[in-house]
Amino acid sequence: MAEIVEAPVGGEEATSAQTRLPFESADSLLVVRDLVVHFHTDFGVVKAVDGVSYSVNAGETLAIVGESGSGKSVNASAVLGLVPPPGKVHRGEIIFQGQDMLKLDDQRLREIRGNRIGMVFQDPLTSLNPVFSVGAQVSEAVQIHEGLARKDARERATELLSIVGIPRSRERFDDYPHQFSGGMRQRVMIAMAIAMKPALLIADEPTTALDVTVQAQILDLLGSLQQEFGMAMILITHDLGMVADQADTVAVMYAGSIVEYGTVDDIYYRPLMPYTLGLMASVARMDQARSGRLRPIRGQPPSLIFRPPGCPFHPRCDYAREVCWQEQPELLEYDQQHLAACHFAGNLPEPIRKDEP
Amino acid sequence: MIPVVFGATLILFVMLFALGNPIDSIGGERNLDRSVRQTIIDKYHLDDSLPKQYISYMGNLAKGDLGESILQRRPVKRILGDGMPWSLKLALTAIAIETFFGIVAGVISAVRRYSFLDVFTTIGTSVLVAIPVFWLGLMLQLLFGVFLRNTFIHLPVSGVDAGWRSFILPALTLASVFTAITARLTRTTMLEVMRQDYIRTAAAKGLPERTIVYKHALRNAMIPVITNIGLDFGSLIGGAILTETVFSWPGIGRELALAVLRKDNPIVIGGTIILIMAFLLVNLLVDISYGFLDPRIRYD
Repeated sequence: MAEIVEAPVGGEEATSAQTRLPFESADSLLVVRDLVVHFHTDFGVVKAVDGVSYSVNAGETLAIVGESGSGKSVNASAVLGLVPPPGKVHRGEIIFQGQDMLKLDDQRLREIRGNRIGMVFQDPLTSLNPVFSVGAQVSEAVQIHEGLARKDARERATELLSIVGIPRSRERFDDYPHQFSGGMRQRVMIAMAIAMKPALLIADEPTTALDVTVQAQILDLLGSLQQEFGMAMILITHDLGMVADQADTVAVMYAGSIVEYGTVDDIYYRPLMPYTLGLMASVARMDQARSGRLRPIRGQPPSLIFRPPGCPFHPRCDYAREVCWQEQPELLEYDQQHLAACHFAGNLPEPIRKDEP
Repeated sequence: MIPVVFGATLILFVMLFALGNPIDSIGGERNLDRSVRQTIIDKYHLDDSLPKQYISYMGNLAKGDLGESILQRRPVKRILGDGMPWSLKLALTAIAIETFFGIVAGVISAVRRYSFLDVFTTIGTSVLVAIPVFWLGLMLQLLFGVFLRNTFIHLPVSGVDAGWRSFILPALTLASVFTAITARLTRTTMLEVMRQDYIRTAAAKGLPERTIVYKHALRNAMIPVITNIGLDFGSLIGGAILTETVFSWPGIGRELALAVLRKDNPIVIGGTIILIMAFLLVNLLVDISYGFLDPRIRYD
């Protein structure tokens, strides 16, 4: 259990680092630097995103992986300027195609939303407006940015619906969301998100609310649309297994910070941080023989109001030593393009607490 | 609908029976002559047993006969028929006021949450809900009928002789509580709807704030609000008893109030039945209208 200690979070007064991120290049579509998002609540300040930096290159996929409450969704909403109140971006830069999204006015931000950055949300049951037909909702996405006439927008929306694999899209245009299954609704959401062939698609747990059999279909659809349109994608998920095929790079988030960041191969085959190890151990893998029971990570994710001192993961970590609750480890590059925030990254000591049943 | 009418009339019958004989109020302070008394009792079958009276009343009701007023010596149907148009007109005016001001105030306070207008609306609606209707009516009469009687905004305080101007004070009085409740409900539902995922989706599409609020949010928020306004209409027709009495409005509310005081039982029962039927009819219409408002409840 995390003891409740009010601790100053490290790096509060650090200025935004202008150093180049590990995967940043001239090709980078999106560069997020030192992003801090706070929610001011009656119980205290929730540090939902606490100094996160990453970059996405054109056409590539970044997977952001973490438990519920690790800040991964808030982080994604921040890119579009959609952090729900009482959340506020406290600090940082979000550079998309050379512009800082945090400095744009409303008008300019709207021109980017749904146009150059599309977003797919977690729950297709609640993310579509129940009182408008699906066709109308897709048309709206086209109309707002292209100023098409109603008839042309309808034509285009019908086409989009068939692109995302909705059968008889012309007939189903006037149906309402409740007449669609979960998977079909998520296809409608995707049709809306890709309506303008965006350069970047943010998919926030796009399959979490869906049936297991449908999950793979939706992922395949996202993958093939990405190829077809040459989109970059940020795939947010709590399921490491899901991202193996899709992602180029992976950022593992814990308690509002990135704790490990690297290529998909590095994260899968050479994880450095005990939290990532724990995530790997808790996923059923098809590419390896079963080596016993799946092991969940002990304990609960920490409170984002009272973060544990030192390494936020230490109360749950099997390898934690004294230094872990005294000093917060920085996210440092251990291998080429492989970063981890762990005092013992690369040479973990003997686990102190062995497998508990 | 039918069982409700049966139940309501039965309860009324029992209660009125328990209240005693209506004859005494005909004579006022003085006692009636014995033979006159007996004539009236015979005419209205007042010494029949309760079940017998009830059965004969329901029999007549089935034929569309509501009986005759004891004091006015006119068919109840005529008396209520005369009052109905005035009650309806008053209720419709009040509904218009409720719909317009309630929704506008509610939307503004939801969109500009914690602003001066929101605080003003919140305090205003609390005050309106707390003020007794008859007292509000009296105060409006005092203000517009007495204090401002020599100015151009002077308004008639009773009756229906001054055309549309006669409607203003009674309709405002009648609408006051309902408007306040509608404003509150609109504010709450709007705030609730604005938190929904589909509002975030609309924002992620790049829609401007105006479209998000007035198209995506308002359309959803109106489902419970319009339902509520529809149901209010039923209450307004019958709920005008106090307002109609204060403003001497010739509607069925006032007729009913007078009849209760004078123990003119046929009017009390007949009027109540009409009000119940109106209420039930409005409920039915509201249920049907759901389908138009909310595609999830469309009747195929």
